[in-house]
Amino acid sequence: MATEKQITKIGNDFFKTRFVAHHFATADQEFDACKFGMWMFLLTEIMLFGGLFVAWVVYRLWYPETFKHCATIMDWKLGLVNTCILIVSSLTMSLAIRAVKMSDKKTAVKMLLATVLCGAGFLIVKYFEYAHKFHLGIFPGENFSFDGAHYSNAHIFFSLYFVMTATHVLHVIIGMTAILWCSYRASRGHFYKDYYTPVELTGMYWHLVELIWIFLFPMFYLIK
Amino acid sequence: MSTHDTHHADTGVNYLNASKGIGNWLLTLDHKRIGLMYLWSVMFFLLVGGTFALLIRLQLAFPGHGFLPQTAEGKNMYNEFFTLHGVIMVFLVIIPGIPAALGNFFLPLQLGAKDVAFPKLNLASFYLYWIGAIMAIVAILGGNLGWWGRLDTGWTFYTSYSLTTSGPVILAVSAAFILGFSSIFTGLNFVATIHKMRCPGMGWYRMPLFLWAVYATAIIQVLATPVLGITLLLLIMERCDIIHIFNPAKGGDPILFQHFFWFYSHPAVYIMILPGMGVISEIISAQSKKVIFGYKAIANSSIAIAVISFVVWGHHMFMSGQTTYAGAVFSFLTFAVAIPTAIKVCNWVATLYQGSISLDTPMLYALSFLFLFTIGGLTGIPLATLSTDIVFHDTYYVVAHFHYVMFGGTIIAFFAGLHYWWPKMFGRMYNEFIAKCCCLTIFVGFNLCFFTQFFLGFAGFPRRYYSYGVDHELGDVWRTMSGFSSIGAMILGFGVLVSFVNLIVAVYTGKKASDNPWGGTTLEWTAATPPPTLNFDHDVSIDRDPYIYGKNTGHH
Amino acid sequence: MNDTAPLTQAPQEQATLLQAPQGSAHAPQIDIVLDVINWVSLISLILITAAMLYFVFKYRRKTEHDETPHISHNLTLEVIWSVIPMVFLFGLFFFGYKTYAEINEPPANVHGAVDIYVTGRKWNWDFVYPQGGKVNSRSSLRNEKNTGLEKIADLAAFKASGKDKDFTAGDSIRLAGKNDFTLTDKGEWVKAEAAASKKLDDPKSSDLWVYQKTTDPKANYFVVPVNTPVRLHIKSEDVLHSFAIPSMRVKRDAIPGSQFRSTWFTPVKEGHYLYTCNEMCGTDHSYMIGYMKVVSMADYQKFLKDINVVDPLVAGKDCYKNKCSSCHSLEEGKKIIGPSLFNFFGTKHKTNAGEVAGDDAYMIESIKNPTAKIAEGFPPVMPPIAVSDEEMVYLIQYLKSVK
Repeated sequence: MATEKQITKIGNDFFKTRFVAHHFATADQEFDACKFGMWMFLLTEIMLFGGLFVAWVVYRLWYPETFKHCATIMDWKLGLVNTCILIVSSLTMSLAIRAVKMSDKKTAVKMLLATVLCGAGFLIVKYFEYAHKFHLGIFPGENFSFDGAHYSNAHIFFSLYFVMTATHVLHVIIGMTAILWCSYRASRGHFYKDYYTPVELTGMYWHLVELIWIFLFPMFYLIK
Repeated sequence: MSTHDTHHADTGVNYLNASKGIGNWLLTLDHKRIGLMYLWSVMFFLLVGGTFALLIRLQLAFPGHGFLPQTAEGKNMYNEFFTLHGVIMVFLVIIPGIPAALGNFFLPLQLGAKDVAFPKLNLASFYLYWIGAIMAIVAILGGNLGWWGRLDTGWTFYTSYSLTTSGPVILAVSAAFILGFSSIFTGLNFVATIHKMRCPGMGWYRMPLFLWAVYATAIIQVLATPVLGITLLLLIMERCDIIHIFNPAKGGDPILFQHFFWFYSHPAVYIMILPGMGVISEIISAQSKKVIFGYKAIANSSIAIAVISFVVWGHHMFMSGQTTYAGAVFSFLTFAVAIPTAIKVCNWVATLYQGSISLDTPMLYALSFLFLFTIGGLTGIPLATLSTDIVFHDTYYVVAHFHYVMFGGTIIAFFAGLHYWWPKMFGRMYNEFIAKCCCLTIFVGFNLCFFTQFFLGFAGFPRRYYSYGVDHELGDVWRTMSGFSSIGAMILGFGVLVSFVNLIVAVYTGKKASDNPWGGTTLEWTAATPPPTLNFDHDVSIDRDPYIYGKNTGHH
Repeated sequence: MNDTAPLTQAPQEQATLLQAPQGSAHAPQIDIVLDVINWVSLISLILITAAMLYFVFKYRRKTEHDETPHISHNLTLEVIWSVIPMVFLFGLFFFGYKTYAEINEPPANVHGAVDIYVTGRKWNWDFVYPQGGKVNSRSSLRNEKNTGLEKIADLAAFKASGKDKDFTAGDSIRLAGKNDFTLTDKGEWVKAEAAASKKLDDPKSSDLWVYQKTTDPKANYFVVPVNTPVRLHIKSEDVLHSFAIPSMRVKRDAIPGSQFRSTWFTPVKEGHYLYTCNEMCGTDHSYMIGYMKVVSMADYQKFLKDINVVDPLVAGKDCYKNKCSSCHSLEEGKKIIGPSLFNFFGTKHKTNAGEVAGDDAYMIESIKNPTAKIAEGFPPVMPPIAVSDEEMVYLIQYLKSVK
């Protein structure tokens, strides 16, 4: 298949070969198409979480008292910490993209790794939150044995809590993996001002993951 | 007019023989090969799903207990038949049918592009399709080998039945989930391709109408399918006892599942029919040698249908104790979606006016489509009307209505498309006489099979019945119409089978086809036959509308 | 009640191809909407098909070099065929909506209306009459004499005979004239539950009797009086069902949960009319059928007397005493743990979900799902209570009767 090779030298760094896939006319077209595709993918993510948000709204209307009560069990301080962590990670991700756009390899790798660290921090806090729930007897499924008075539908609140946060955590893990891969490639000098599509797309994905948390946080921790 | 009159050096190299070996096919990134692999898969599953349909009709041909034993095993087997018929036809045939098979093949060709935007994603979609298909097959086999119960929920997987049955619901739902992602990735790919890869000079309103239809379809696939994904995921988790939100015994709402399900599945109805409408627009114009009437109306109505289709889902729940007001809103919106559809039909008929109409096989199918789809559309009105839906909800009237749309519309359009593009895909012409006979057989068999079911609906025959007695005030209609319907089904099945054989035989022994047997003016006809791997052996650009028949355009 | 005695054979109107018998007062109202739609549709279809065939014939291809005019669009024409269907469709919408609004939700007070509580389960219907009594569409009851079955002494012999393969879940059988067994969903024969064995007590003979589902609807019926409004309150015990009477133009999904969903109709002709289950519910979905018998008021009263095995107020009082009275008093304003149930119906109650009317739905929800809405000033401590639908009907009547 016909591919077009480009080798670019910027400053003192040699950058690796890049390809424009055979079916694109120009590198710009390829970048635009990839970015557009990513936007479409983010739309599907929004619709996916949208379904869960609707389920939350429906059951909150059905069982307002239960939801209010269950929300008091949640530790909003840990939620706030996680929110801050993700906001910082969004910043580092943006800085990483800025760095690759300026062909600044070192900063890019640093910032990408910082983002991964933030993600890891988020997961650690989440681990302690889940552990605390299990300690209280709040398990997903049949073992649910939370005795918060007689709120007979508390399991619905926590079903939604587990499904939505676990789906979100899965997205965080996927995001972290993608960022690690980007930082590896960045360290090999694959990205520079004319080619940084993977970093850009990963960044878009990461911002969405953060945005979804911004919704989850008030839904489960703050609204009482 | 830089592209239309190009002549190709006949090198004998095309996408079919460019590289040999099964590995080159299975790992191909060429949209045409992927499209072709989809096509064979879809045709295979159409026959499988059709076989189950014939078994259903065989069982219901006579009152009493049919050919299945009157035991729990026999009844569950019947329930399995209609579930598999539904699951296979919806998820493995109609949804991927036109977009993933014909769309994959012709979308880049009609755009003047070398491939879709993301060829690897395209191949991944195909493999997801087969992973889903294999999971569905394992679910069927396991049910028959006694590994687990039979899959008997109906294709809708309604809670709470799907939470309690012994069938392999988790496996089947996972299959649907994976097929959903296959569909999402195909849609995403097509939207990006249409947005970013139109050849120089091809503005939005210079795209062939097939592309408008595929575009509207892809938008729905991208926006609606994720909701099905999350719904099925919740169902799987509910069945695994990880969460409880649809189970009424645990304070959940089984109707919420229906809302989620139909939020996807009603737009999905338009995923199924819109590409068919696109095919028909192409064929009617080419076979009448006439500019399509009201290009913009047809293009924009596709988008209008896509948009409105998202807000009509509640009409599947008119009988679920919805409030009168909710019912009224959904009924009104459902009527609204009928209007763009009516506009399309009028435009197609108007295109015929003063045309030069040939009655080649694709056109025969297109004309059958017009007739059958119009019936399908009109019989939707009593289902959208609140008071008359009381009579027809969950009866054979609904079955007849959606088969007129899904088979009379989509599958007939699929057949039309196959016969229209077959010479381009394989460079061979099928036997025209046999093809026409098949078209006639299918038309007759189809109407006998499904028109009778409208009468069954008037007499309240419920859906998904394993057997029926006739010793009651509705019995006469139940007996006679079921019998006729079963005869029609057999004729229909025969017609489909022979037409497939005719097409496949043509690949090997057909006459060599010319580059442009129908005199079409969209870009795919300017490529060599069959097209080379990169579609065009020259740079493509366009400076004209897609349809340029007629006196004033100065061509031909 | 489920004997196989022949029904009173009034001349029965049969369905035609385009119409089931018009058995209810609102059937003609729906049918006229349907007729209008059908005529409009037929005319549209004929117009489109005629135009199509005419064009195909008139403008068929003569030579390969035919010239066609370039007609890209015609605004006037397009406006016409957009607006005309729009007017028709929205007219039809309104026409259909108007009828529906009249018949969809039964008014709270209909003079002399008959209430029937219909509960679906896999795979039979209960018809509870609030006057006290219930019929069940379980199955037909047959005497299995001379089929070889009557000689079978016990379960092991029964299984050994291979005849057990003919039965499906929910069927019951009496062996050796005294032992009743029912086949469960899981395919095991278990000792028949009390309700089922009670039915098996009906026949005088102590031979082998079998309850088995049947497509013969005559074996299963419930009874309503003619020319009287009938309100059906429909609910399910397990999975979704849908209760339909085609000749009455009545249909409503039976949904598991805490709410009866209501619909109503007025039968206008005596006779027997088929009812069906219209929502897929498993193995014996197609066996959840039977007859609704429309009879004169006098016959209806006689029927009620026949099935009347309990006094609803007594049964309701028993239920209250056993399941409610330890926490809820029936004296005005007297709190035990929960609020007093005195004058519960017809008054408004302040809850954490806003003000709620004291009606059947709120009562049922509060029993089955107590924390959904919590009365103001009370702790959310009530556990869900197991009350069958039949008991619920009697309990509500009893609570309404306490003044």
